[in-house]
This record gives sequence, C-alpha cells and structure tokens, in this order.
Amino acid sequence: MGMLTNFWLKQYLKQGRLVVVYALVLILAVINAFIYSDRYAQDATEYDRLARAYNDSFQQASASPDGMAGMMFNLPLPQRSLKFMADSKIETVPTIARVMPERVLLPSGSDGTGQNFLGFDAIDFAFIVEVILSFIALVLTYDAICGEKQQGTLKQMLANGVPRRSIFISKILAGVTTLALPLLLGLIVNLVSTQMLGKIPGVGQHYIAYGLFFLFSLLLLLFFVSLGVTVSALTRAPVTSLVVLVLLWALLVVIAPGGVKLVGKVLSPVRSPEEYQRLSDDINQKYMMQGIEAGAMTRPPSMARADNFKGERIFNRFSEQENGERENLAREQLRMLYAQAETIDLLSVLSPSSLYRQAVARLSDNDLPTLQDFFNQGERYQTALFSAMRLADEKDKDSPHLLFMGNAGIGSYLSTKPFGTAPPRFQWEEAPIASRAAQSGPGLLILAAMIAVALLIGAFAFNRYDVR
Amino acid sequence: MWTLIKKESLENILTLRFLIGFVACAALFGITTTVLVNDFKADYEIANAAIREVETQIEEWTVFSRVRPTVIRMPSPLSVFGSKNGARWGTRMLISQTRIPAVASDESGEGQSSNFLGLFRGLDFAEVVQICISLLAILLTFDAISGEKERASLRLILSNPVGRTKLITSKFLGAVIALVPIFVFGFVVALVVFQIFSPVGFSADDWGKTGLLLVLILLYGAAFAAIGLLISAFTHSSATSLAVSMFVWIVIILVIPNAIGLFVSEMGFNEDSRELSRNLDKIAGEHGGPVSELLGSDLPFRDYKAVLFLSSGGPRYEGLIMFRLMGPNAVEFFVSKLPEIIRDQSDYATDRFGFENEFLQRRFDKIALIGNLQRVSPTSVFAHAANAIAGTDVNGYKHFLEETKNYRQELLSYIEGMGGFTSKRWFTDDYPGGPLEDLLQTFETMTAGQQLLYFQTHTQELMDMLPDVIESVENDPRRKLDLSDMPRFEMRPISLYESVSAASFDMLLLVVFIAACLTFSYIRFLHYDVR
Repeated sequence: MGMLTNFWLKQYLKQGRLVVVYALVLILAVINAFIYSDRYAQDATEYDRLARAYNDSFQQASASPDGMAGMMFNLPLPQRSLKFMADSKIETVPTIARVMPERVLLPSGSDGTGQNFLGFDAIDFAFIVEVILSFIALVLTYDAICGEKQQGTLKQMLANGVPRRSIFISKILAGVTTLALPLLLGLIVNLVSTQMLGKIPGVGQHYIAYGLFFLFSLLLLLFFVSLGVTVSALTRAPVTSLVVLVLLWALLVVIAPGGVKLVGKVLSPVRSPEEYQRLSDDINQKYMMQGIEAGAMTRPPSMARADNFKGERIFNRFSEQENGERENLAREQLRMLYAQAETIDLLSVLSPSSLYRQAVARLSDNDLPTLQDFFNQGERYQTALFSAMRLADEKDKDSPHLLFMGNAGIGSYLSTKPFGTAPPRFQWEEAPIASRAAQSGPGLLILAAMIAVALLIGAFAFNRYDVR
Repeated sequence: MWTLIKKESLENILTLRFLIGFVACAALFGITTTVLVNDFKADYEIANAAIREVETQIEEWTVFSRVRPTVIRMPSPLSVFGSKNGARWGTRMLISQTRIPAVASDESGEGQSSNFLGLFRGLDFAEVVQICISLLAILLTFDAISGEKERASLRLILSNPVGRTKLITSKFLGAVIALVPIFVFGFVVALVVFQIFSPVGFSADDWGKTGLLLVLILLYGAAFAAIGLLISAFTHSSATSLAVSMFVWIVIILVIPNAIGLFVSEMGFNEDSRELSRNLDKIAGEHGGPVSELLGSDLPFRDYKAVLFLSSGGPRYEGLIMFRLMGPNAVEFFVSKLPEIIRDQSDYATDRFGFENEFLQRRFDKIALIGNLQRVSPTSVFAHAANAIAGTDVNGYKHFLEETKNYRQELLSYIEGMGGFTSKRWFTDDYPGGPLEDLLQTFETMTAGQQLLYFQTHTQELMDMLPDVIESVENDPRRKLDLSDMPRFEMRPISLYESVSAASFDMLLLVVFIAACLTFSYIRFLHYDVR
C-alpha cells in the first residue's frame, strides 16, 4: 500500500500545473504575512489609544464614588495576534464594552460600514486552504477511480491481485500528502516572514497555534480529497465526475457559508437599534411622568439638603424602577443579538468549509465566543466597580446615599470622600490556547463524521464498481 | 447557421447541468430576495420614522438658529438588487447654516447597529448573480471544442460543409441562448417575491433599470461563456478544460476582487478620520471671532457661555433667561452684531467644507482606484455596473450629497426670506409680557444672588421643578415659528438616462471583453488540431 501511495504521489507531483498552485499558495502566504503584520500594528496602536483613554478617565474619576458615578468607561478589546489564520473581521462589529455604573452593559462600537464600501473579504490563511487548496483537492482526485477505469489500468491492477481497499486508501493518502506539502511550506514561509517583519510578537502559544492550524487544515483537505475519490467512484466518466464536484464545491464553499447568514437573519430576528431606542425612551417617559406626579425632583444638592433630599428620594425610587425595567430590556436585546449570531454559527454545520472556518476562528481567538467572553468580563467588572462604589458610599456618613439618580444627578449625590481601597481596574484575561482548541472540538468532530460518511459511501461504491 | 445555433442551444438545454442551474438559480434568487426585501422593508420603515421625527422637530423650533433639519436618503427599491454595503452608506445628513454637506452625518458618530452580523460572511443579490451565472456559463462552454474533439465528433462536423467560423459562433450563441431562460426565470422569481413583500412598488424608471439589469446579466453570462470557449479552444481534453476554467473562475471571482481591495487599503491610501477631526477642532477655534470680541466689550454681561449661545444654541430656555438677566439692551445689541456673526459662521462653514471635502475626495479616489484595478476581472465590472444601476455605488452617494447641498441653499434662502438672519428671531423667541416672565420671576426668587453660570449648569433641574410653568411656556403659540411652508427635502431619483450613462462604460467593457475572448478563441480554433 505504501508503494502504491508513493507511486500516485509521484504521479500527482509530476503534473506541471501543480507548480502554479504551489507558487500561488506561497505568494498568498507571504502577502498574508505582510497584510496581517501591518494590521496587527495598526490594531495595537488603536488599542493603546483606547487603553490610555480608559486609564486617563479612570485616574480622573477614581478620587471618589461621586467622580466614578458620572464617568463612562470604554473598555477596548486588545488586538488579536492570530487574526491572519481566520479573519472574522472583528473590527467591524462591536468590540467596545461601555461601562456606566448604573446601566446595563451593551456592546457598542463602529459597524464599519464606512470602510467596507466595496465589500471585499479578507485574504486570510483559511481562504487559501478553504478556497484554493480545497479546489485543487478535487482537481487531483476527480478521476481517481473513473479515470483509471477509462484508461483500463484499474482492471490491470485488480488482476494483479492489488486489493480494492489498498487502491482506495492509497489514492486518498497520496492526495492529502500532495496538498499537505504546499500547506506546510506556506505556513513556514508565513511564519518566517512574520518573524522577520517583527511586528507580531512570537510567543510560545503562537507556534502551537500554527501546528494546530496545520492539523485542522489537513482535516478539511482530507474531506475534499475523500469527496473527490468518492464521487469518482460513483461516476463512469471523468468529466461527469468533475462537473458534479465543481457544483458541489461551489455549493459547499461559496454558496452555503454566505447563505446561512441570510437564513439565520430570518430565523432569528432582532430588534433594530431604532426600535430598541424607542422602547427605552417609552420606559423613560413613563417613569418620568409618574415620578413628577409623585413629587420627584432633582435640585442642586445645596438646596436639596434643606428638606433632607425628600424629592430626590422619591426620584431615586422611580429611577430604580426605571433602571430595572431598562435593564430587562437591554438584557433581552443582548440575548436576541447573541441568539441571532449563535443561530448563524450553528447553521454552519451545513458546510464542512464553514465548520473548518469556525474551528480556525476559535483557535485564532477573534470570533463570537471571544466577544461573548469579553463582554461577560466587562459585565463582571461593572458589577465589581459598582459594589466598590456602594461600599465606599455607605461608609460615608455625610452622603445621602442616592445611588440611582440617573444620568443628570448622580454625580452630586454620592460620597465625595476618597475610596478606602482603590476601585477595581479592568484587565482582560485571554483564554489559553488549550481551551480555545477544545472549543473547536465539536465542529471538528462533525467534520470528521462527514469525512467518515464520504469515505464509507466511496468504499461501498468502489467495492461494487464495474471495472469493465 | 440558425439550425446549428438551434441544435447547440437545444443540446445545452437538455443537459442535467441546465436543469440543476435552472432550479438552483430560481431557488437562490428567490431566497436571497426574500431576505433582502425584509432588510429593505426595515430600512424603509426606519427612514420613514426618521422623517416623521424631523416633522415633529419642525413644530418645536422657536428660533431660526435652531432650524437644522436632518434629511434622510430614502432607500431605493432597486437597492435590493445592488450590494448591501453601498445601500447603507451615508443615509442621513444634518443641514445647518454652519455646515455645507460633505461627510454624511451617520458616519462620524458611533455605529448604530450594535449586532454581531459582521462576523459572518454574507451574500447579496449581486454576488449570488455573480457566482451562479458565471459558473453556469462556464459549465455550458468549457468543453465546446475540446469535448467535441475528445468524442471525435469535431472531425465529423468539419468534414461537412460547415465552416469553423460558423461552428464557433453557433457554439457561443447556443450557450448564451441556453443561459437566457435560466436567469430570466430566476429574475422573474426575484421580482415576484419583491412585489409581494415590498412596501413600495417600482416607478417607470425603475422598470427601465430592471430591464437594463437583465441586459447586464446577459452580457455577464456571455463574458463567461466566452472565457469557457477560449479555454476549450486551448485545451484538448474536456477534463483539463474544466480544471483550467474553474481555476480561472476562482481567480476572477474570488481572488482578484478581494486581493485588490485589500491591497489598496493596506498600501496607505486610507483617509484619516482623526486628522479630519483635528483640523475641524482647529478651525472651530479660529472662528467665533465676533463673538469673542463681544466678550471684551464694555457690557454688563461677560459670561462666555451666554455669548456662545449665539453660535451654537444651548439648552432650550437658557438663552432666553440669559437675555432677560443681561438687561434691556442685550437683545438689541446682539441683533446689531448679527450680520457679523452670520458672516463668520458662513466662513466657518466654507472652511469646514474644505477639510471635509478633501477627506471625502481622498476616499472617493481610493474607491475609484480600487474600482479601476478591479476592472481586470469581469466580475468586478459587473458588480460596478449593477451597483450603478441600483444606485448603491459611490455615485449614488455623491448624488445624495449634491441634493443635500441644493437643499441647504434652498433652506438658507427661505430663512433669509423670513428675515431669520437679521432679526432677533435668530436667537430668541422672548417677547415682553410672555409666559416667560413668570418663569423668570420664579427662577429669580428661587435662586436669588446666584451667578449667571449657575443657570447654565442647573437649568434642566430648575425646569424639572416647575412643570406647570414650563407647560405654559411650551404651549404658548406666540413663541412658535410658523415653518409650515419651509421647503422639505425631496431627493430627485436618479433617472434612467443617468443610470444608463453611469453603467454604460462598464457594459462597454464587458462587450470589449467578450469580443476579445471570441477573437482569440476564433484565431486559436483556426489552428486547432482536430485529430
């Protein structure tokens, strides 16, 4: 079997057109290294700017709970160093967690429509594997069985006592090896150029990620090689086989991944930002009217002290209710947003190439779970900050303890004395690569199952293949 | 000749590829349109709500410096058939005396759509057409010559009195004719879906543009049929033709458009929005001279913020209260200074426009550069033409900017006609004996001995304490400006003629491309070894 694999491997490598493909892969790998090194540097500058802004406003506000209360912090997501593998275009979605002490945390940020006027996609490494190498996999294997039959060599081999199983498996092994070579070369070239450019720091995790990326990619290529051999065992003429494969390829690689977004949007709708704003305003209006009738008011603290903040306390009560209701609304909105994104994410099981992209995006840590984790951390931070403020405020005997004064008033109704212990600062904790790789597990298992199904069908068809 | 074409097209139509293509196109076009019409409906409703909001604002304005309507670009029904990104770009603009429209108002601020959809790749209608039609066209012609040779039928045909010219022409036309039912049916499905779900129908021009779109799709399909033919004339087995064709297809459809866009934006052609905001801050500091001079003059009022109100328009009652507190001559004094201030503001608008326009031009240049480089690929040529027809390209945005500029002029001459720039109605709606007297008196007793600045910081709080007085001020009809005959923004739709001329260059390019491919295939075919 090893001999057969070797033989076909040499046959494949002898083909002149493969040189073109190898060259293309290497060129794209270098371009990729340049683009993403540059992009990383840009992202890092932007992150530094935002982080400095956060630090500055934190410094300014951390003198007292009163200062903290009027403040709004924008927590930025740090630059992602492995974006080159699968660029989820994370910069075009909300990547800023906005922390205001008395508000629910909602994602915000640019939707990036301005930049994407022409709507092009990224040339990340996953693109090379998913689009170019996967197609080459089909071109290599479309005539694996039916071509041999047409030339009459299949009959000869079987007559010489070569088992069908060996032919089938060695075809697949030879195909995968042929593709593994440019993939490996491309990755090495990419790694070397990235290191030479020196913009992305090479940490230990980085190399593990490269290794895992290679394995994940190999799995996808194995799928396409199996698909090619299977279809060639199901058809009689090479051209038919190739036409079927091309159509399947367009469906799996181009149509399905883009189509699920369309379907997901319909299956799991969300409120538009405008509608959300309207509902939020309605709540505000409702409580404002009720509050005014009940005698709620806000005055400058010097005036309010005269009747011991009576109107402010009523105001506070209504604010608390209003905030509660607004919080529910915001949570519902966030749930819908997550549900929509998760639906689309889930629908990607329809196509092996989406499964692959999803797995690689998990690995490179710039996709939906990254954002969800980021926002969860932001929310935990907000809770911690708020309880620190509450604690400090309660210790101060002179403070009226009016924590829910809403946007306008809150700054003036909390303790102006310094915090006893410093309030917490936001620190983003990155998920370790092992846990990210583990998250890719289920998707890869489904991909493996798809490979198994393709192989089973292929083996079954080949066993009953009429070699005459 | 005609018999040959009929035979070729029938042969194409009777294949499995045709059937799959027919069904797949109809299904994909239908599904895509269903989703996109939903998006369009949402956009349409949002735009309508925004317009209604502007109408309520108009009723609330009491001074002319506050007359700053936001205009909305209504989404065009045809945008469903263009690219999704373009349709969302630049949809609203704030019109004011201090600003000549350049960069759209919805671009500078925080993004409104806080969802995660950007994480996923999507398809719009134009992309579905790009992929489906090109793939089908190539699949119909990739073995036109090499396949016939492989089956040895080419020799047979040529031994009959059929010229090579006739053969290759009929091969090409046969494929194109077979394509027609596929995309026409798919497009009809899309149109039916659109008419069922859309909140607005097509105008006569829109129907014309739809027809133009069909012609464009035909040209696009023909271009790929010609590529397939060319490759089949260069190869000798149908499998090789297919492998080569598909590789070329990937490069044309996926690699070139992506790589060029990415490259140009990486190569430092990016417009820097931070530089723009720095420049804008700088000129904001340079202007306001007349107002600053007032600060130095010998008047009882020296409050900087009070004077600044003239140029910006602060919270609702603040300014009125200021003038009352400043003394009886304050209003007359400011009226006498108004021409100077207005002139300064116009200069500010011109300067600001200079910077914003430069920023915008750099962006347009970048888009034009990307577009021109992308035109190497017929797919991008198609995309540009389709967007030009659907109005979702950069020209649609430019058109919107022009229209808003015209509207601003119209609005300014309206305000001028109403005497807005020369009377005290520019900055105050106060009049002796009005309900404001009560408000002011109440304020004065409540806050005796406070500084002007005090009002500045606590106006809202003071107002919250006096709901009854505020209500009578709000409902006082004499304060309201009568703006019922104010011109409203109405965007002139891009006419069919303009669409045709915008798309004509790209359509011509496609024709040239087809002609070139056919010529090369013909020359190659003349030397083709049929054995």
